[in-house]
Amino acid sequence: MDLKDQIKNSLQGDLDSFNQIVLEYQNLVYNQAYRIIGEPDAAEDAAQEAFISAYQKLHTYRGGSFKSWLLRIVSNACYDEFRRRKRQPVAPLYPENQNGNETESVSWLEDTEEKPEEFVLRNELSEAIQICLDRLELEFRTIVVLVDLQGMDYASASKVIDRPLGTVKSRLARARRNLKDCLQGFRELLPVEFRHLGEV
Amino acid sequence: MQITDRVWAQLSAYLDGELSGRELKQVRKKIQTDPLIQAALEQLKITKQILQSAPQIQAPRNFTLKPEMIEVRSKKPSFPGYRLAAAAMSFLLVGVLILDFGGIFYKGAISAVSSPELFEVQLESIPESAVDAVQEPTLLNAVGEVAEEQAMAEYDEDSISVEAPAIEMETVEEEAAEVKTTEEVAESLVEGTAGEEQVEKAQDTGTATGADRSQGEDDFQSTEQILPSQTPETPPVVIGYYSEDEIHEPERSAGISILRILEITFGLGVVGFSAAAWAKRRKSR
Repeated sequence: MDLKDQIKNSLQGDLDSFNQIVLEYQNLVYNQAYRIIGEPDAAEDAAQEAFISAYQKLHTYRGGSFKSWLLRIVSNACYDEFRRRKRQPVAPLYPENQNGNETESVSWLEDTEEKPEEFVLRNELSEAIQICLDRLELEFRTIVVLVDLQGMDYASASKVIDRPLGTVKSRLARARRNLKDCLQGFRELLPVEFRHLGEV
Repeated sequence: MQITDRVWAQLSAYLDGELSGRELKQVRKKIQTDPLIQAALEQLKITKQILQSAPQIQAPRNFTLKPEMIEVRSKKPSFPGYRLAAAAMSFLLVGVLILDFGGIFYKGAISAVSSPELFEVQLESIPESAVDAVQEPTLLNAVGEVAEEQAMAEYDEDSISVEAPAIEMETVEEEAAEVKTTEEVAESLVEGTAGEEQVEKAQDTGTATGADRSQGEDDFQSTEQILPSQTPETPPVVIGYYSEDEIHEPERSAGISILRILEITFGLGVVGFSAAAWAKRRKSR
């Protein structure tokens, strides 16, 4: 059964058909949620919410890229999760200095007890990337995740976040610059071919 | 030399193959000629590659839906009490607003459309105070637009003689004769809606104009004085407003206070219940 039939059956209330779609897209959805939120538990909640929303809003899907439509729902679920967590704060996403303010320095990325080599040993490049992503503003982060991690073009990303193409272009460039600076702090953790990441 | 935000954006877009035409040529030229830009592009390229190298994380569990998940969601507290109350208040408010304003507009439209003759009578009999009335923005003015335009079209056709520079006495006689007929028109209009004041007014005007030709001329001239000051868009509106205001004043003043109180009550009800529903929902999340 192809996606079109699955959607058609789901619209008629066939939950099994929709669950086939879920199984097909759940890695994509969870990755998007995890990269935006940065916490596994919260990402799980957001992913589950996104699928429930997708089922209930399936009638609003008007053809075109189902992936873009779904990622838009996931992004919105992540924003909701952020708002909810903002109202009920658990732990700060960003490190705080002694005054309780969020720090802007890269130095907080350095774990005094954990050497870069150990970091590499744990194969935590993914985490290093996540730390740098977390330092970006939410919308910048979403755009980078959509374009660089999910491989979307600017037009699709623009539809997902409901922003003009020019905004996607400029914010992506700024986000990449910030990530470049942040990743310099993890130079030792990067694969050899990337270690000459320097300043410009 | 520092690279500007714009150039960074161009380089980033170039990297993604999102540039075209002249911009693409410009960026290519910059890359070829400027080593700093070359280096910047290389940095962006590496950054992008690092991001793309991030491993795809496996979903920790299946997110398949169960029937109860959908049911629970659909049964999510919606606070029907507050919502229903707000909806009921909205309906009541709309009803009262229709009662309050709808009737007035209807009457205004009827009098404006069905009796162009009355318009002329009123035009002639309206004192200077009518000009003041134009400057008072009223709901009546705003809503009766369609009827007024129609009446205005008829008015314009009928009153060519009024606007013509050379006015013959015959025209004035005709006008005066028409005025007499308005006694009947006024009576029919008054039926069920207007007070006796309008009848008296129409009668007074009709009698006065019909009885004395020179009076008719005076009236006509006074009308002419009003007309030039009126822009093409507004003139008859004044007349409609003026007559309606006078005719319905006793009725409106009797009903207004109750209707206003109801409007305020229902309005506050809508706002209050909506706010309560919103607050409760927010609290529960």
